[in-house]
Amino acid sequence: MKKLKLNKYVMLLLFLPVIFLSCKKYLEEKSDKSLVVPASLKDLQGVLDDNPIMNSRTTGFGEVYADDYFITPANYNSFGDFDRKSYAWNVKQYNFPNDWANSYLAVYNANYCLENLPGNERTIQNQLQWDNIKGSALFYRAYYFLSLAWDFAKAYDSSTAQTDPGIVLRLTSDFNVPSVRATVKETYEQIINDLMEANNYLPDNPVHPIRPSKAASYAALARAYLSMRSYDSAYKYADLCLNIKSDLLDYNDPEIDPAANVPFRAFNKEIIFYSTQSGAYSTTFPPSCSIDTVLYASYDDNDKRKTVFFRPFNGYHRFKGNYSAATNTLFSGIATDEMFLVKAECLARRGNADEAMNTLNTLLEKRWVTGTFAPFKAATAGEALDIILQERRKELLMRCLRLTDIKRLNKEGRNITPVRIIEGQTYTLPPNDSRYALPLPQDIINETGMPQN
Amino acid sequence: MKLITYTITLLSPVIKTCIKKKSLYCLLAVILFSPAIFAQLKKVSGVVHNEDGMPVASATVTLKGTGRVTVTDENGAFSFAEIPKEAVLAISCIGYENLEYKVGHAATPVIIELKNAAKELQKVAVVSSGYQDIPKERATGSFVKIDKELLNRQTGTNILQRLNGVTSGLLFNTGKQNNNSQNTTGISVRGLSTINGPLDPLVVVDGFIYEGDINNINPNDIESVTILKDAAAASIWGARAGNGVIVITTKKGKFGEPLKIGFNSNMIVQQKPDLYYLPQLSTADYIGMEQFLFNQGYFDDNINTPYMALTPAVSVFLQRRNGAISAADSAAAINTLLKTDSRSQYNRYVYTNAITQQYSVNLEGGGNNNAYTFSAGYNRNISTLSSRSDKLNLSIHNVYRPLKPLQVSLDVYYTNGTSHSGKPGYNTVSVGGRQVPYLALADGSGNPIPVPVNYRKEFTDTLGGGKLLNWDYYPLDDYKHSTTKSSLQELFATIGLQYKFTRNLALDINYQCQQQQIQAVQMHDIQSYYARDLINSFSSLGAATGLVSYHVPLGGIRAVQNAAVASYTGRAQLNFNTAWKRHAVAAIAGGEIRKALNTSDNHTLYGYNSDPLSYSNVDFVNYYTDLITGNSKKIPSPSSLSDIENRFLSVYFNGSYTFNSLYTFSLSARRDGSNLFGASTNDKWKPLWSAGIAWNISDESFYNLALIPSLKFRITYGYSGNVDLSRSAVAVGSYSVASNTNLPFVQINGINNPSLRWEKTGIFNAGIDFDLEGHVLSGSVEYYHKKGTDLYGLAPYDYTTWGGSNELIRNVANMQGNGVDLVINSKNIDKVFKWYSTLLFNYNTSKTTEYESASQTLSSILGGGTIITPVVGKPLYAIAAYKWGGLDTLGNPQGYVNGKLSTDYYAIQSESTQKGQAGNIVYIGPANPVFFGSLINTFTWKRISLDFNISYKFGYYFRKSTISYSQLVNSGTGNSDYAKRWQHAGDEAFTNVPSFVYPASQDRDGFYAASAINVLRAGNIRLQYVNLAYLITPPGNRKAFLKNISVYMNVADAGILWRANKEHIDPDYPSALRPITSWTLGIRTNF
Repeated sequence: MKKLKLNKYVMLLLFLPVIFLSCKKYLEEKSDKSLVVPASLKDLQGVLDDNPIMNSRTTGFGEVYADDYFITPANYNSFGDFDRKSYAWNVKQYNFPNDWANSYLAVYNANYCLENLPGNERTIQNQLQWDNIKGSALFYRAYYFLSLAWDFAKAYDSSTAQTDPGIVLRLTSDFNVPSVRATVKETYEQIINDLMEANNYLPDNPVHPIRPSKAASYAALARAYLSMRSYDSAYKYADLCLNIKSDLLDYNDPEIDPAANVPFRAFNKEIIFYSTQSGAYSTTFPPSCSIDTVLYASYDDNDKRKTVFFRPFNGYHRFKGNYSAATNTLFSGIATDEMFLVKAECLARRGNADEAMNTLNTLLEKRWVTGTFAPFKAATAGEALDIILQERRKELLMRCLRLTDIKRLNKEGRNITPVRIIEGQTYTLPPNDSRYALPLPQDIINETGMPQN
Repeated sequence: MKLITYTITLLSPVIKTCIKKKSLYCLLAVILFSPAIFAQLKKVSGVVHNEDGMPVASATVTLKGTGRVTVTDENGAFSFAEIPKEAVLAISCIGYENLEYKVGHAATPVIIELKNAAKELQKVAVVSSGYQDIPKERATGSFVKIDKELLNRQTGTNILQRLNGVTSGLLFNTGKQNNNSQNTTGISVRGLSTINGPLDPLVVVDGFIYEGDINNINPNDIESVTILKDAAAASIWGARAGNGVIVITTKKGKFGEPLKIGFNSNMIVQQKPDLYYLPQLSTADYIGMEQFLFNQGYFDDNINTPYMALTPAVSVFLQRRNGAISAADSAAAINTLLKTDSRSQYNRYVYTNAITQQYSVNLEGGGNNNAYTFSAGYNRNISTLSSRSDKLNLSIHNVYRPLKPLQVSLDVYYTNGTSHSGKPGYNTVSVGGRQVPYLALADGSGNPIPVPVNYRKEFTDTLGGGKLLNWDYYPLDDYKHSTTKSSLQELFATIGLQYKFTRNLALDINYQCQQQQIQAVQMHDIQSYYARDLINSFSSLGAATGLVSYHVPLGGIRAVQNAAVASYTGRAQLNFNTAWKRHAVAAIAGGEIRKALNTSDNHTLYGYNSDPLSYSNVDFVNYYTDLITGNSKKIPSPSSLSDIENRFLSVYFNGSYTFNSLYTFSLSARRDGSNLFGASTNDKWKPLWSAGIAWNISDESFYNLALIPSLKFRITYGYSGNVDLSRSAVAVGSYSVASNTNLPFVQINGINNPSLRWEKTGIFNAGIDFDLEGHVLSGSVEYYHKKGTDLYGLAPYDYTTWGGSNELIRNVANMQGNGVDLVINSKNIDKVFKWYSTLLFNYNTSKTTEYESASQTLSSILGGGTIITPVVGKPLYAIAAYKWGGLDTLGNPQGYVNGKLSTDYYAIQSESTQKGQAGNIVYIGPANPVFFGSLINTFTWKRISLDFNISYKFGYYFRKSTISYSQLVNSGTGNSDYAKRWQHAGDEAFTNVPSFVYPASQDRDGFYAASAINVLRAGNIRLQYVNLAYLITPPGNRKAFLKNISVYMNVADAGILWRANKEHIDPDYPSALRPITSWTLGIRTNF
């Protein structure tokens, strides 16, 4: 009897290890097979290739404040409070979700990659990939900082840039680091430094226009310098960019159907870097906003853009010339046409009227009905500049560039004053008004205590 | 009354078998049973059986005055060594009346017969924690057991729904919306213990965590359900028991039980939903609004976009404006629309009464060495929207005892279900994105007519010059061509080995494997709108040739979703039970290893043809031009893969020590680990524990309260946890392929949170169980206090870091809850006519005690209290509202800014976020019931029994839905309050509904909706169910072959009896369709 019992306890002891077998490895299996903690070069490149974030988050708020468009009373009345207020330049308070969040989401991905890239050793085998990640992340961060600076900071003015509040220069993915507003000067310095560094890593041309390239980085530098009114530098980088890529679409190409609602193909050959504005504002929603009638009237009848870009709607014209190849998304990326215009403008500002007009005519010839184009001529550099600025507006309308152009040009006394007529009342946004720096989201102000614009 | 029968037999049938089996243990038992051993202090042994002569297992036998307790084994046998001659045995067991037995000089083994207890809410003697059965007397924790009698008073096909209104501490959260995939039951046990974590209680079926669809469990197979409410009861389930545990036990045959057959069949009829309950804008008001907007040019954009759909009234206005029809024709056309009511159209052509049929057969029984149960159940349901579902359940439970100490069990539970989609429900068909209350679905003779959901018919009819497929959508016909059929197969099999090393020590090894396969086939045949629309929009028309080229091939579109769930659990557990002299110890210790796998894959085939079976390849890569809008788009390829594997390891211990049958101490501890993604190993393991004490004061020698012969106190404290396996401590991305570039990319779904921990809930529980003389009044009162720490909380943060969200989920919150659960059973009349009552009363409050984010103020709970929103010091579901200042002379709603009346809604909103309660906002109260429960009355007269359940909920508030002019303008969603709106000067004296303004302002609408005027008291009393049963053959008649046939009728959701609000709104369904009364007729028999 006793022996029997003993045997059974021995049996039991044999079972015990089975019971308490705690296998550390057992708990190390990934719970969701599709999840990954991005760390390898492949993962980091994947984070940067997340184009719903990296290529479609530039701010569109600035375009709402700009003057390429207007809203009919019927449409205005159908809008919500925010859209009506923003149309009258009267936004004071708004919260998440917004462009601030959208742009900084892309900044996070860039920072994350920059922080995690050093965990991968750069070797002869992987250097192309490694460099592409490094350059791309720097490019994206600068690209979004520039987009944010255009909207949320005052125009760059070398006399006040040291004190004007700029944007938050987030350079880390750690959310414990508090946000502070840098100055406008620091903001642009960061943008330029990042892009300069990116130039060392990026390939001349990208695998796909959603990816950054040296051409894109030069173009972004041209944009940044242009908005700083550093026209020599802007010229230099626009030219460097065009040396790599200068393809232009001929608007007479049968692929571009002027009657179509979406005349351009996705990722057309002019696109250097593809991005679209985030969100959709009712005000600038292409199917519902009308194009400024004076602007529309300024297109020549032989100018293909008059039909390719616009469709008649209820007595006015609406914009359909998006390079995003969609009816409802505004293209905000960089295309060669913009670089031709930057180059032309800077040439005119240097006093080189002929070369400026030549550059402009190279572009415009592709826009006119074949055989009808008479090259533009300017007697003086000043006249050339006026023509180029007018053509800049006509070529680059609804590309989220207009507000920063107004801000920049008003610094030079061009006295552009957007006007709205709402319910019989006239509203204006006078040059250099404080409202040109758009308000930051209220919840961000509440959370961080940063100064509001 | 007390019929005691005892006979003396030297060799009971049990012992005879033992000898035949030549088992050592049996022989031992025979020796113990032998009468030769007892002397002055004699040894007594005996067998307890029931009126049918079958042994009663698990009966508690107490040696009165000594506190010595034992429990009968499977053969009903028990024994005591060395008892005085005058000893009195007290025998109690669930389902039987208590009995006292004087040993005297009776020879042993004594044979004791227990009388079946009368049918009432029986006092429970054994409760199950899922891991072990615990005698109620020795339980320190808070267990509620609901037996099949009570479960069968409700008749639905979902076992959890049958718990509604019959058990204390359980609340069904109706009308709450929590964006949480881990909140599928809508049940909370003793209020909430989490903020952003999973909300579902853990469901355990026959000792194993059940993660399948609870609808797959046939309620007729259920023996009992036990709710584990406090830490001592639930902590044995560890890190996932924080929301309480629901332990479901299925029916099982017992050793030595003759074959019993049970049959149940019933039919449930549910009426059509009451569409007129919805506070809908009248057709006349709606068309008036459309006329107004039309005149304002609101629709001009749509009108001038030739393909955009227009509502019928707008089409008429447009034709009139274009001069296409005369004023008289226009008026006549509008008049026709005015007479059309979508609700009557839906009632007539869409909804039908729902019918559910349930059939169930159970066979159970057992021999000396085996016990078995077979059951089969079949459900068939046709819903009010004509969707069909069928479900078959088969189960086998077998226990075999090849050797005396060894028991082998095998359980197999199989479910096979199919379902077929039905018609579109009310308000799911809209015109160009607008709800239309005058939508005609059929013409005068009942033929389906098309509804322009997306595009204008005039446009689509002429677009392809007759070469395209028809582009019309017929709501009454389309459901036949766009169908979803799903099939489900679930199998779970459990194999168990129990080996008794000694009388006191046993080892249990169990292994369960669960497999579930679900396949959903969504079929859009070529006649379906979905297929025609897709094929047409991806077509291109050759300008010169006039030929149509298709990029989506002509044919059906078939999407298949396959999902598989599998779980494997292995468990080894030692059970130790012993009693000596005045001491009794019951303990378990074990380890469990578990993994749960979820995999799914979806794919779509185009150009599908069933006969001959074929499909076509399509180009998912290139862009095509939408024939109507001109946008570039790709052919949708909704393919996806997922593979999730959750792993758990646990070790646990639970023990109790009882002294003198007076004091019981319990202790449990458990350590859980999981493969929580990204957490370091230390954080994956979570130790949880509980301790408790119980005192049977009525067994004390000094106790002499004759009025209350049974009284027990218990106190417990302990921790259980809550884990959300979808949270992560590191930045986690997932791979996908970009639709526009075809490049793989990683989407970062959430940023790093290295401090992630499991939630922890501490629960204190104190209870009193009492039973008055003759069971006139019995019940329990329990007080509990819950404290949740490290709760997952959404904290607003500076999203400049990462703009994916303005809130981050972190372990930021603490909460506490208090409550009282009271159960009182009374026998009001106990003659031929019997009237028994059960009163359930619950009090529960919860509040957030700490929250990391300071910006979470009262303004966060202006939303109406339908989601959990933590505000320090306030309940988890709570309502605040803007102070209401009435309407001004123009009909504008007024709030307050700096204490003064204001219509600057922007300023009102700013002040509310900045100042909270100090400003223009008032805290109203909880949005979840504070007091709730039910009163169940049972009347029995001869063979008729009637019971009804009245449930009540008090102490909370809800926000009524009201008119939002911006919604009305933008989407056509109206509210009947529109008719009460301010229209003329002076109306502000009679109404609180603001005037209509255009352009509409969301700020104004939002202020009005969230103002105090729209918050109402939610208290209500409703008739939960009425159940009427008639017993055709009484159970006492042993001769009848069909021993126990009863027919029953049940009315469920019988309606609201009283509500605190005067506006006739059902507070649980302020703006949704409310459940409709269902009627059941059924027959049940056991033989």
